[in-house]
Amino acid sequence: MLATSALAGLAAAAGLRPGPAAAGPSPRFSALSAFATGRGAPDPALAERALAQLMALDPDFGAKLGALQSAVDASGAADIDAFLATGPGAAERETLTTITATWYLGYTGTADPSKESDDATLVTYRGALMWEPTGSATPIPTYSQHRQNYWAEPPSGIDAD
Amino acid sequence: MAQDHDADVIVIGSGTVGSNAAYELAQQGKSVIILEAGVRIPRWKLIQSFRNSPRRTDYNGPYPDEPWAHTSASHAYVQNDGDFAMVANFLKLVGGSTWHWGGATWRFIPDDFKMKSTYGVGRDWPISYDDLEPWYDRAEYEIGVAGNLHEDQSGTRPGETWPPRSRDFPMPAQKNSYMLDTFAKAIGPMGYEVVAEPSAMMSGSYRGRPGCVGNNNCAPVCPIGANYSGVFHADLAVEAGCQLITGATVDRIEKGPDGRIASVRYKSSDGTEGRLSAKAFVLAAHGYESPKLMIMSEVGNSSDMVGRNLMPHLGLGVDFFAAEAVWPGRGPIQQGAIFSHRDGASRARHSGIKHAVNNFVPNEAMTKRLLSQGVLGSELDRRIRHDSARYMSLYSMFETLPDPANRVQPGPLKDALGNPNIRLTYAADGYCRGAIDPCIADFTAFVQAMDGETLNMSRELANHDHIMGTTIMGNDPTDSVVDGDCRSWDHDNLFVVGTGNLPSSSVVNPTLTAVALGIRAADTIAKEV
Repeated sequence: MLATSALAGLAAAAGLRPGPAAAGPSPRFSALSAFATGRGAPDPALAERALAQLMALDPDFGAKLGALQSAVDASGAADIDAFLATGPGAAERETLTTITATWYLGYTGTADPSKESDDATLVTYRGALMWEPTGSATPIPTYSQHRQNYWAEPPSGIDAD
Repeated sequence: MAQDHDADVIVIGSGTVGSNAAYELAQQGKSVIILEAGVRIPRWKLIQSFRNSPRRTDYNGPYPDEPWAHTSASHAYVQNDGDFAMVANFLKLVGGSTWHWGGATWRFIPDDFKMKSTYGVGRDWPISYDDLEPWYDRAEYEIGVAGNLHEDQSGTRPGETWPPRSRDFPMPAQKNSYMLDTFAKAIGPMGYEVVAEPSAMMSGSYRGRPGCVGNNNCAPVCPIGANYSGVFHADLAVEAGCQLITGATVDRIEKGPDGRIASVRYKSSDGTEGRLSAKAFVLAAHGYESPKLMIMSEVGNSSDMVGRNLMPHLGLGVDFFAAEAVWPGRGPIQQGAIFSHRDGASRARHSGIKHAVNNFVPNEAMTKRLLSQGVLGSELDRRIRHDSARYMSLYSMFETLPDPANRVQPGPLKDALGNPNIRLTYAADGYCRGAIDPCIADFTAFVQAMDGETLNMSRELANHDHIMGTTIMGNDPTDSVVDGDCRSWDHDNLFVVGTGNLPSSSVVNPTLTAVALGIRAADTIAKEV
């Protein structure tokens, strides 16, 4: 792992285009992740991890990314909402949902604690995007960053909720 | 001079009850060895495990589950052959299963101790509430319980402090969350009252533990130790001089020629074995494991009641969207209870009921739901906030009655040490099912009070992680396992402690009652060894 990273760094420093065996996430996956989530490109290390896990779960995932990219390109949509408004096909929506779920939930696969084991694998805990919309009101469980009894009052801005 | 015994007292199990008993004995100058099947794990490692797992609602997830110390995470380890799958989550490590709990530290009320004579169902205890009250007090001050003095927890004595108390809680109750206050105001006009749940999640620092700051991760593991767990008393016991041996699974309680217990035999995962003797023995290995070990060892079972009378708390749940934002997830994961059916004449016909309000951050459940509905793009962010702000969930707990047919036994499978798994036989009866309709009526009123949109309101009973009755106490040696002091009827130096002692289940979490009984048993032992 360390050796691979070092080699990739050397290639970049030399201005060489990484070969097919180079480490790092697929640019397509990173770009589609940014598109699906409406945010900047994901952390490369997390994207590499997520993509490897998604490929392991679904060997056709690379082809599905390609199909989604083609559909996005063909639509001419500038962002995810514009693309959704064009009525993408079921297959493209499914791939979009997989990408979105990965970044919002912070894991790949389906977590099912009712079973003894499942195919879910972590991508990120604190970095899961599902925490962002409520960040002003609730903690990411484990460390609240708030003082005791903060919960007795409603969060500021509740009137807008 | 050669010692006659390895210790004055051997305690089997380092959970909350065993550790409190061991600490009490050490405080009274007794030499104590604690044998624990699991290991000691620092809190930070458990937090790390939690955050590295995608199974965030798996309360056993961060904890070890070893071939030689299985927990309920190994599904084959707990086998059900009754008509109701009765698995209670439990752990094996120093501190026991209170590592992952909601900190609910209720007392039983006086009527819970005399179900047969008051309501004609179940059993009476061999001791009364008044007998146990001084040890409830001790247990609350050992643990550090935050609660409201002036509250009626029976639902039938408005304006009274009930159950009666000899003094106030060691700490005042935490403040209610905005959500809980909003809900209480909404259901108040319908005749429902929300009372504070006495909680081991501290409202201020206590015995070296910090006050709760609302990390909202009480289960699977409190990150800062504001929520009590048995590990605090395991550590206190060691500081007081107890010897704690971890990775030591007791597989035999051995009788001497006089019928008293002489020694225990244990095995470790590294292949070592040991045998230790003592003047008295405290079996505190959990509501499933303690009776299993007694049956394996052929001790204390002249009544054939060991492992029988298994009583869980069963119950229902409801979740819904309130019309307005209430913001669950601020504060600890649970607060408050509603006792519309805890006590009173209906208990002669059907189970008492406790309703409680969940307060966990709901983002993951909301996000999964929205994704399954096809919500994507910027709408997803908007809806996560909207739905998370309005999500509410409640759960109910129904008491169950002691029935010898409901039982735990050694199972047919073997673990890595050659010890049997756990076999459960449980059937839910009509007394318990009789609480379904009144519970659903309450749930319907709760949703209505919040102008809510119901998501799930199931009539299917689910079990909670509470186990009672399996080492039942009583007045009659022919139909109980221990007497009112938790002493085995068959071996006068064997004390069996834990929630398994309880002859009635009430509707409240049983841990505090078991700790009170454990400290009381330790006081009895201390006079004799």
